Amino acid sequence: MFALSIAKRFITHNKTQSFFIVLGIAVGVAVQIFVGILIDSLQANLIDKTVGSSPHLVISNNVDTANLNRFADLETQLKADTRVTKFTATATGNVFVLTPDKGYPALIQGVEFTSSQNDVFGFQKNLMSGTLPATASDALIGQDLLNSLKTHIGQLINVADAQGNKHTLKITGVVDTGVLSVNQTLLVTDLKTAQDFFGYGNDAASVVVQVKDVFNVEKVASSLPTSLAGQQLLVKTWKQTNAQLLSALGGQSSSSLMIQIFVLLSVVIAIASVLSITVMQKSRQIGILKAMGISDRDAIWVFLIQAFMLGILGASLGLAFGFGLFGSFITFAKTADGSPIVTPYIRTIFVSLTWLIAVVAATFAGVLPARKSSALNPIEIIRNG
Amino acid sequence: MANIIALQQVNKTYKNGALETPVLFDINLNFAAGSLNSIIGQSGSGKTTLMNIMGILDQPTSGDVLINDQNIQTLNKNDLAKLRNQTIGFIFQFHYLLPEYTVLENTLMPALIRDRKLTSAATMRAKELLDLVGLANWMDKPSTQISGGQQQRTAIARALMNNPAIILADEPTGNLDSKSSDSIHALFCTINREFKTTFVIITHDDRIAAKTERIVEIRDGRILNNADNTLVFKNI
Repeated sequence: MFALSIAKRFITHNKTQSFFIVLGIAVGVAVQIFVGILIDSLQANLIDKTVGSSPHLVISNNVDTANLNRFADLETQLKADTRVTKFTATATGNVFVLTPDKGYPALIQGVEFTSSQNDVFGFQKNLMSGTLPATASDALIGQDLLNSLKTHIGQLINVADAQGNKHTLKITGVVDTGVLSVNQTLLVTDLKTAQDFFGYGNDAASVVVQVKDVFNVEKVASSLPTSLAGQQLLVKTWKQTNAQLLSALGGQSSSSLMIQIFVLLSVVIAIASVLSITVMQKSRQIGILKAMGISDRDAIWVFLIQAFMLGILGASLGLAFGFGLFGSFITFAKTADGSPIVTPYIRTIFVSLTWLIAVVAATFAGVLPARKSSALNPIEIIRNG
Repeated sequence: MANIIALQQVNKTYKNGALETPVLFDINLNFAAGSLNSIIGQSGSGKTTLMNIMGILDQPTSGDVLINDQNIQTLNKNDLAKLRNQTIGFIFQFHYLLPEYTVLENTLMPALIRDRKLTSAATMRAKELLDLVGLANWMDKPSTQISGGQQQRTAIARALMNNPAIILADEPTGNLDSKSSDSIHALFCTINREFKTTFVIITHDDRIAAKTERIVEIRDGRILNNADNTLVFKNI
C-alpha cells in the first residue's frame, strides 16, 4: 500500500525522534498498567483478606432453633451453579476444653473436608502446621487456644458440651485465622464428628457458600430456593452482616476507578499531544507530495497509519514496561516477613483494554493533522518554503 | 502547433479577510506543445501566481484554464491531482526533495504515486534520467547529502519521471551559481529537443530568457510583451 510505505519511511527516517515518541507513549501506558494492576491487586488482596476466608452466603432454617435438613439437595444445586466457588454444610456447638486445672470455652466448627471446594473458611490456606482432619475425632485448633492449652499436634484433648457429654479430639493441625478472638476459641472437626457430638443427626446448622463475584452475591442468593423439604430457608449475604465493611470496599472500588480514569485520561492526552506535533512536522512533505499528485485520501492515510504504527509500538512497549515495573515492585517491596506487599492480580481485560485504548487514542491523535493535511494546499508549502 | 496550455481571461485576486489584492488581470495566454518558453518580470509582478494557476496548484478567481484542451474547472480534486501527476512536472527555486528518501527514490516518487507500486520499468527510467542529469553515481545517496546543484538536478529528473507533456520551472536556477545554472538550462534545451516537452520557465534573468524560443513579459499582473524569440534563440 502506497500510504503505508510513505508512513513507514517517515517513521524509520528519524529513528531517534520515533524512538522518543514511542518511548513517550510507552511511559504513559506503563504508568497506567502499573497503577491499574497495583490498584486491582490491592483491591483483590483486601477483599481476599476481609471476606476471602468467610462465607458470602449463609443458608439456614428460617426457624431460629431448627436445624437444616436435606441439605444435600441444596448442595447439588450449588455444585451446578458456576457462580459458586465453594460451599460446605456446617454443624457447630459450644464446648469446654478440659484441662486438669480449668476449662477453656471453645467453638467446634464441623465442616466438610471432602474436597477443596468445601474450604469456605480457608482452613487449608490458614493451616500453620499439621494436616487437615482425616478421620472422625481429628481436629484443627486455633493457634491461641493451642498456646493456652500448652499442647501440640498429635496430642489428645478432652471437650465437654453444656450437657456434660464428653468427647476426645486429636489435634492434627494448627490454624491462624488472623482474628485473635477466633484463634482463642476455634476447634474444627469434620462435619460428621460435630453432627454426632451435638446431636444434629443427618442435619446441619447451615450451608455456607462463597461466590466468584462477591459484589453481586445477591444474584446468587435470589436464585436459591425459598423452601426445602417443607422448611422455609433463611439466606443471609455477607453484605447484610457486614454493612460497614461493604461501605469501605465500595468506597475503595469507586476511588480506584476514578484514579484509573484520570491516569488514563492524562495518558491519552499525552499520547495525542506528542503525536499531533510529530505528524504536523511532516506537513511540508505532504505538501510536496500533493504538488506531485497524491490524493487527499492518501495524504490522510499517511498520517493515520503513522499514528497507528507509533501507537502499536508505544502501547506494546508500554505493556512490557508496566509489567516490568510491577514485577520490580513486588520483588523489592516486601513486608517484614519477606512476602510481597501485594499478591499480583492481573485482569486480562484491563491489560487488553489499556493497550487498545492507547492504540485508538494514538490513531485518533492522527485524525486532526490528517484532516489538516487533506485541506493543505501545496501552494502554502511552496510559497513558505 | 496545438496549444497545450491555454489561459482565457484569467483573473486572480487574493483575499485576506476584507482585504483584496488583485494579482492577475485578464490574462490570455497560450503555449504550444513542445515549445520552450520563458516568463519574465519583476518580483511581485504575478509570474509565480501565473505558474501556479497553469500548474493547477491554484485556481483563478475568474477565467478558464485549459490543459490539453480540457477545462480544469470541470475536474474534481482527485482528477486534478491525477492530471498534475501525469501531465505536469514542477521545478521550483528550492528543490523540495523529500529528505526521507534517496536521490533515486525521490526521482521515482511521481511514478510511485501514479502506479501505487514500484515497477522495474519505472526504476529503469529513473536511472536513465539520473544518468541524463549527471547523477548516475549519486542515486543511492540520501537527498540531503548532495550539493545544491545536484539536488536541483534530482528535482529535474523527478519532474521528468512520468514523461509529462509540460514542465513548469519557477526560478529553477535562482539558488545556483552561474556554472550550474548554465548547465541546467542547457539540460532544459536538450530535454525540450529530445522529448518534445513543453517548457515554461519563470525567471527574472534576461540572459536565461534569451535562450528560450519565446519570452512572455509580465508586469503588474498584465502581459506586457509576448514576443516570439525564435530568431534570437536560433542564433544562440
